[in-house]
Amino acid sequence: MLKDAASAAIYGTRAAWGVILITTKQGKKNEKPTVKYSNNFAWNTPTMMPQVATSWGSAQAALIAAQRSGSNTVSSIGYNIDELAIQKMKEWDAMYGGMSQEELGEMQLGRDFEMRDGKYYFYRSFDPLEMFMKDWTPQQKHDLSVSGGSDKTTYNVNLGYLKQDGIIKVNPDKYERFTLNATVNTQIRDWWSFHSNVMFSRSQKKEPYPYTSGYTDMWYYLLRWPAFYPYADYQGIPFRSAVTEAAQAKDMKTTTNYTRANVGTVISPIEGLSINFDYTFGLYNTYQKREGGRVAGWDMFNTTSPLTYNDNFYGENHNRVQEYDTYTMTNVFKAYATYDKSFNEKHNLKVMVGMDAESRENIGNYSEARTLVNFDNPEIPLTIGDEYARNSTSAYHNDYASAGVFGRVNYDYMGKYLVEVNARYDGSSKFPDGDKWAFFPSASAGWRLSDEAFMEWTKPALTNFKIRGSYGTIGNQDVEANAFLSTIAVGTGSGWVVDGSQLPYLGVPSVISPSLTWERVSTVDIGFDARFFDNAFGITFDWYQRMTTGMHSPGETLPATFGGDSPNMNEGELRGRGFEIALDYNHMFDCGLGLTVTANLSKVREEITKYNNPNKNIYGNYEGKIIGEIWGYETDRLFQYEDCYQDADGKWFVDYSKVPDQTLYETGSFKYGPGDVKYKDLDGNGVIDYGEETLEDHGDLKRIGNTTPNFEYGFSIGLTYKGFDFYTFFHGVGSRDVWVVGQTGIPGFMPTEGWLEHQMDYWTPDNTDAFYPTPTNHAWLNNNQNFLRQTRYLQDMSYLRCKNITLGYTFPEKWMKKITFTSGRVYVSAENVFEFYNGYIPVDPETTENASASNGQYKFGKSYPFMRTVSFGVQLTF
Amino acid sequence: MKAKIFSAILLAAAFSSCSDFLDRPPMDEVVNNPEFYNNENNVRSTVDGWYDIYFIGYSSGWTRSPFFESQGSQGANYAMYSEWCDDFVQEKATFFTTVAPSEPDEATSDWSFDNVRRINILIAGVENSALEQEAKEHWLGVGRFFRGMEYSRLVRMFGDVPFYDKEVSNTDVEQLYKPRDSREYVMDKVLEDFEYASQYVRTTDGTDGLTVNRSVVDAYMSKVFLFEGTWQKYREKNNDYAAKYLEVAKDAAARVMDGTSGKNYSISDDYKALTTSLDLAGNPEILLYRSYVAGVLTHAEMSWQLEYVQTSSPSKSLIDSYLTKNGLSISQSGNTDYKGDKNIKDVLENRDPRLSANIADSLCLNGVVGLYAIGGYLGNRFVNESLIGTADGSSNTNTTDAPIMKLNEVMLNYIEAAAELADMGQYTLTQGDFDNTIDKIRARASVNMPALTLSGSRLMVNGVAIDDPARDKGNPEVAGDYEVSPILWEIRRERRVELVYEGIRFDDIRRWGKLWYSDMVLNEDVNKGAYVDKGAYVAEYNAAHPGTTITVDQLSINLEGGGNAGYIVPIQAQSLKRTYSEKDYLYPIPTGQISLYKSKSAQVGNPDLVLEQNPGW
Repeated sequence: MLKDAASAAIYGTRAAWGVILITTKQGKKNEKPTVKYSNNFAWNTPTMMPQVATSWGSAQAALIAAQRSGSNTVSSIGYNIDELAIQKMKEWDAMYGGMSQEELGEMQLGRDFEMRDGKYYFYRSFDPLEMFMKDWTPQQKHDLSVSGGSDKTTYNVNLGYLKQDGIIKVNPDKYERFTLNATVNTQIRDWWSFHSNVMFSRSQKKEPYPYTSGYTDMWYYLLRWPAFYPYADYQGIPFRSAVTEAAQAKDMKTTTNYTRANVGTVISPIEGLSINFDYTFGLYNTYQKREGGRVAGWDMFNTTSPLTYNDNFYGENHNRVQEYDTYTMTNVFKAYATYDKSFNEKHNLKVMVGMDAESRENIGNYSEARTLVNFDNPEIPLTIGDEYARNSTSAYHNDYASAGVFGRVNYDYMGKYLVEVNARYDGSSKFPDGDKWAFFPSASAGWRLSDEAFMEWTKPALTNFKIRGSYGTIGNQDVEANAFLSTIAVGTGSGWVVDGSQLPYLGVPSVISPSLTWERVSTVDIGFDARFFDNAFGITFDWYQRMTTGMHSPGETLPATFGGDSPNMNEGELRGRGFEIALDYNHMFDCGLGLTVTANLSKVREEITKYNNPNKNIYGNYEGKIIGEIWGYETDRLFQYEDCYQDADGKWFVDYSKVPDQTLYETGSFKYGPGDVKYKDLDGNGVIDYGEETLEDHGDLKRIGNTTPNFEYGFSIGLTYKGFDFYTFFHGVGSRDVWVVGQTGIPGFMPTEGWLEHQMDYWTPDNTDAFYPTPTNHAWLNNNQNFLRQTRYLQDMSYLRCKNITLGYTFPEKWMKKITFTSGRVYVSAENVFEFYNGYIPVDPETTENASASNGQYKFGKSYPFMRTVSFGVQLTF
Repeated sequence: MKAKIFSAILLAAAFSSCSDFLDRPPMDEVVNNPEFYNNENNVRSTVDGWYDIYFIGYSSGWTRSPFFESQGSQGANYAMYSEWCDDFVQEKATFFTTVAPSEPDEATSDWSFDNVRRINILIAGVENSALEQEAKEHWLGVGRFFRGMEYSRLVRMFGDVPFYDKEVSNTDVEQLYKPRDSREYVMDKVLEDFEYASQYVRTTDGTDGLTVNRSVVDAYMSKVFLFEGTWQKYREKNNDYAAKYLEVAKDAAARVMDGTSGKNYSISDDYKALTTSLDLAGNPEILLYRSYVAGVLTHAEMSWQLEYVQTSSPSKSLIDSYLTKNGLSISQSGNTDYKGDKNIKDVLENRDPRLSANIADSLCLNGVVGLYAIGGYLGNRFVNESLIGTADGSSNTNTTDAPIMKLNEVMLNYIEAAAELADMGQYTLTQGDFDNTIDKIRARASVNMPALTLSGSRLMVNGVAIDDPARDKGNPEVAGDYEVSPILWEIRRERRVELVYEGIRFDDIRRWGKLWYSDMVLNEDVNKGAYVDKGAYVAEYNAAHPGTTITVDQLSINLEGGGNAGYIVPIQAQSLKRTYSEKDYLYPIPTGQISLYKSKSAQVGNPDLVLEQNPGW
């Protein structure tokens, strides 16, 4: 990982945020052919997922929420809830709760559900996750490599195979991958060498066809409904549910092929000079086939008569085959010459000049054909309905190119004083004529103090000590396509049907700012490397500051009268500051015990240091904003009866003569009362409000947390003893907060639907010390009533997790030799073994779901689970 | 040496890269340049993208539409909440917005100028294009029609709004932050747009019934200016503007009715078919409709009335406004046609047939049937009986076409504008005005209600003078309220009944200055449903359903007075009833916008850059 500006400089404009170098395995010269084989057999199980509450627990909460708004019954899709139903659910649990679903068999009218007063009530309890998922899923991996070399030529060929069974029980998902990697290097003449590498990888994934997608996918629906939702058949017919949908679905198959071919040559015409040419072609291709069909069963979504058989829940537009192809072709060419020269064995000079050019083309194809002749044979030629090829996200064609010339001079004096100067002149197709090219310089210097005479006295302890610093600027061309060109997109679905199909339409011209130009990233890095006691102990430290200037970001906030999004401008300045420390220690004890310990800690904080946002709206970008900050209220406590009065109808409301006024968040149908959340009046004006939502006047709001991980750390311990090896690795995040939204985060997000187990400790007149407020209808909103963003319900996502524990044993060579192997090792391993985690909502702390994206708002925490893994395997060489 | 030559050649090749390597214009997007507008198809396709904004019909998928209960789904021609009126009795009241939102919000404060911008871009593009004269004028007309539609929406919601007839640059602070223009100024601009459109938009263009033509322009012109004319009269008390705009509304409607707009429309035979047909193509009454096709675009309008409990359902206030077959109001003395409302059969007997086209013929009570209506009367104007049980009539795959603009509405615009003008002494109503409007609507084969005849300042039916004791004589509890004249009362009734649940009632009572109709305290009939005598109901139900036995106890309904007989009154607690205040006539301006103007004004030192909030917010 190359992070500082000077070392990244020669990797071009796409390296503005750092470079990861991957070196492929190569054979060694004059090595006899070696064959290596390794395998791994693993089993995966979900780490944690939200669980549905008990049938009656969920029903009770739903009913309390309904009673607040004056209703004594709850109806949602095909089920109903009243007091009697809750009683019957409890009775059902007492009588049948101990039986398995297999024993219980089909839904029985009278026992599991009934019709009363024209409405259906369901009592039987299910665990939807159990109906949908397996507990453990197997996985296996095999790798085989052959390598070797003569005095001129080396080769290495790797073959890999991976197979994973997915977690879905009712319609198993599956993943398989094959890889091939072949490298040949040869020395043609003593001044001329040639190298080549071919990599090929192919993977295939099979999942159930998604009848719903986006935030309403199967996982969303699976946890959406309460435990009494019927997941068993009735009269041989299933009820509409995520389980039924997956079980009846055909496949969605995704194939990914990646081919990368690299050829290169190095010519050394004179001593010290080498000229490199390197060309890589990459072709990334995906092919996805979605085999549609119909899902049929009892229509639980029919509110008034759920026992209506519906032979096609999702309609005729799913009676189809869809095929998606994507092609990404890249060409990367580099040519550079380096010249090395040492003078008097003291002055070392290295000069490099070169150029690079890259182009990339993306193509997306989409085809859909409707009306299958035979549902069991979903192929495009076997359809007789309408055909579609236009698709706003999946049919596309675009490309881009970049090029640059660069130069670098390195000089060092006896390896003690090191200086490097870089310069790049870069061009990108993403910028307008006249602004395509820009110049980016950088420099670095180092001083190996440990080689100085005056440091001689430290020698016994200090093996090596070097301080270093760098400064450089790189342009970031990773910006949106056509950022400077106003374009009009062709839309596919105008929503206006003429002659049986939707008219396509031409969209709104995009708003652009004609002055848009390069965004620049300048980095200062200061650090040191120190090694002690004959390299046994080492410390590396880096402090850095990264300034992004002329950020491509929305310009100043414009009033609604502009009628569009504020166009991107080179607006504002972002400053990231951080440090990284890494420690390592190696020791071989006399008894033969080997110890390796490593530890690392890093921190980065990004702050906006300049922005044209005159009113400093706290939700926009403003000077002084810390990236990831969350604004919200400080929670005081829950209201109790003492805070309230009773009106003529006997309803309880908060008495604002006693406590700060929260009427700003009341609506016609929602007034605060006992069991609701009391916010703190931080500015003491007697009213809970957000002022102008500006930095100057944000009322009672304050920064309550930050979504960016802060203080990431990790440590590992390795032990070896007489052939045994042990290794463990922990990773942690010191602080990270998420305001969890949707059903997972907000009890009563949609109160008539499923409540989750972790939401059951709520306020009632008998449980006034509860964690959650009294059940309330939050009507699909993520920031209202009792769940305004606030301290009490902010999820603490900090954690420390044991990522890996491995125990291995390497057989003595003499044993292995007897059975023709050169070496052999067996091991057992576990991943994501356990964690220290305080989050009160059971979502995996490593989740990357974005709680504020439109999908996250509804389905945060409801998605394909994170896994714990146990495995074993062998590694053999012969 | 060989090596040197070889490497020199390679290096030279590497550095001599093509100069156009970095020129990559977009391949799959159209570049926005002046030539774009020289192609009429481009202009047409741009406008095609606006239809579903202004002509929302039954919306699509599971999204609610402005028809029947909208639950806040917006449409540029409709109120945000169609429930904010007196046509719905509700389980839970849909309250008026209490606090101005901080940012523009579709449901409560749609302070958005996105459409203004896109329309202005098109207008400028067409104006400067090389299109031939006729096409240029037509598309300019279409563009200006949509601008008129958009500004009339803004004015209808917010009153004064800043007017822009050109795309505003993101750096033009003076324009972006200019104060609101008066609604009269803006509506005069809207009038100019409509006048141009009415003159130049083609009389025929594209597919009939699915494309904006001159008749559609004139129909909307009557709708927009009827709103503004009555608003000026009742809200602004400005009779000059009122007369001017009402005249425009009346004339525009007349042009559609007499075919001057270029097409001849006539009242169709089947009232219910207007809202339940699988295909509205060729219906002589339809100026514009939205087409739905299985697998292409479908909706759930019918399912909302058929598969979902109606927690907002027809109110007593609405049911009572239907006349009896003799053309008299139910409470007119001596009206023997009216059988009372103690039983649903009585309610429907001898009534205007449009009532049974709007509600089911049996009460649907909570506790008895799964599909119940909170007030007992089950709305079914959008239910096509023959589609029940088919995909076209269930779930979100309904395919009935949605009427968008119909001749009956144009006629009702005409007669109301004429009567309002007459009320101000600016026009004299004639019998012909009624013959050409309400009487044609009433003569519809499936309706066949007696014609109205004009007799001085009164209306007669079959020789009987109409005198509705329930006529609004002004509510003394409402400051400044006024008495509705007998003629206007009947015209407004006809409009309510004929266009029921088309999402326009809230705007109607607003422009009449009668928002108190929707207040559940001032107008108790809004919070009432059917009359139910529990004992009688149960006996009748059991008799009609052999094999089932229901009991009085299982009826889950609240009756007035708490006894066993009375009107259903779903909302009992005073705190849960909807009440209105004067500020509810206009939508609030988002507070964040106001503070944005404030800080900009301070930043540039221009005290004129002020965005004022609407009164009371």
